[in-house]
Amino acid sequence: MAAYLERREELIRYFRARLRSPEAAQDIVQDIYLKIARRPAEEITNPAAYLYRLGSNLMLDHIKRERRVQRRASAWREATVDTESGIQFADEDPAADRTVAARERLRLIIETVNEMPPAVREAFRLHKLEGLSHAETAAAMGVSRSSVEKYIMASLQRIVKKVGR
Amino acid sequence: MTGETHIPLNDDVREAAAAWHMRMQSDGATGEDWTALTIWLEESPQHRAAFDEIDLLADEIAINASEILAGVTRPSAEIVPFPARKPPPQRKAERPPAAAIAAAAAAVFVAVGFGGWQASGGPVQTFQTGRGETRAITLADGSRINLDAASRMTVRLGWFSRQVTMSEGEATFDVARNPKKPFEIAVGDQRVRVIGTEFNIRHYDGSTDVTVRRGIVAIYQSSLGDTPVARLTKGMALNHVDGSPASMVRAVNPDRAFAWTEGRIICDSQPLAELIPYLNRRYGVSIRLAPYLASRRFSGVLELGDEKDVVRRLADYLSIRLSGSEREYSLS
Repeated sequence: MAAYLERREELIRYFRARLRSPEAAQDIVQDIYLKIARRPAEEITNPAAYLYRLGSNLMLDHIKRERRVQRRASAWREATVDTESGIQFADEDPAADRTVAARERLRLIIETVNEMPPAVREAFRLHKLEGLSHAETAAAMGVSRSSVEKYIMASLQRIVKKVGR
Repeated sequence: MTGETHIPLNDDVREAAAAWHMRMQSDGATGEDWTALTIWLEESPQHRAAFDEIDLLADEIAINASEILAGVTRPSAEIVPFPARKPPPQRKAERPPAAAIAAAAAAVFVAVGFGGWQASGGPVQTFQTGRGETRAITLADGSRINLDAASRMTVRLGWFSRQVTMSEGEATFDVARNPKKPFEIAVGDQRVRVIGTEFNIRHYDGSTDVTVRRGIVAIYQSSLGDTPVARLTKGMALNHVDGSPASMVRAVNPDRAFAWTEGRIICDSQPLAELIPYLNRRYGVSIRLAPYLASRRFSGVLELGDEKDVVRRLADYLSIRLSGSEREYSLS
């Protein structure tokens, strides 16, 4: 809680940059407060990182919810009226398209991972898929932490280039 | 994150965003690092868009991790491209930090893969306790096992793996780290693979509870292949009923699950139908329970001292009638 009060302004500033909106940033930081106020007192090793991560998760949830609503609305418009023929397809399921697109992205990600050099792939697997920290991944692979960070950066960049946004 | 989604991004900006993402993911990211990131984000819409991109992608990967993992081909043990890690010199006096233990055990995934389970020799030892008997075992590799009453397990310390098969019973494990030999326990229709060290397993009547006090433990479901169904860290417990497709994970105070090794049990609204069979095993006695009492619950700490005292205390607490003596009791 002390860490929250101390970092409150910085948190608002960060989420304002992320969300491009002072109001939305205020909301997120308020939600962080509600989360930590409800949580039993317990030792957190890195309180600053904890607060930002908590806020980031709240933000991502919020964004994903909004995108779903937007997509549903636009998919609905596209699905109901075929602009050339003017025929209506009212019973088309807009969610089906979405799922196909998400599956295709997932397939591309897996393909990209399998094309990575073995060390890059292994670092990606241990850190991003098995959930080990950087230090644990480094020890598991018998390489330095900076190598692990290099591998993981390389892996993410490959995937970003392949699936973009 | 809206309104700037169509800004073109070049590789340099993407690389910088990936570097920021990395930095914030590292264990030592400080408040100052976040402030520095904030300043970078404020510098340009490209920065913000590129960071959104990497952040959302990382989230997508995290959400779909198990599915991606299933599709990723793993380099086989023979062609692992990393230099083999020499085990550090054994220091007897001090315990390695938890992270080091976890990391060392994680190396097992890389070096041995899942072939280790099948490919191993070594003699099979059987450890067993009767009713009224508990046993502390130190294995040849230094691992320590506390076996509760009426429990049975076989242990094989092979060349490539350490295997335990646990039938009915309860035990705590404090596993010696050995990156070259994973420690795997087959219990019910699950496998428990040790990545860190100290945990309790309870397996009665086709129901398994795994509680972790230190380190990391991975749980595999035989029917679900080589992807762990759960990865438990300190303070997490998993319950699984044999044959069920699902397992339940919850946060617990792990000391409760270990209390039996220190001569007490901590009950949290435990039905007598579970508690009495436990006492019967633990003391090798026969306590009969009137059927109507089966669903009565007991909460509290039960010191496992003299059997008579325990039974009497329980009866007093629940205001029920105790009769019998000398290893034969009945509660009604």
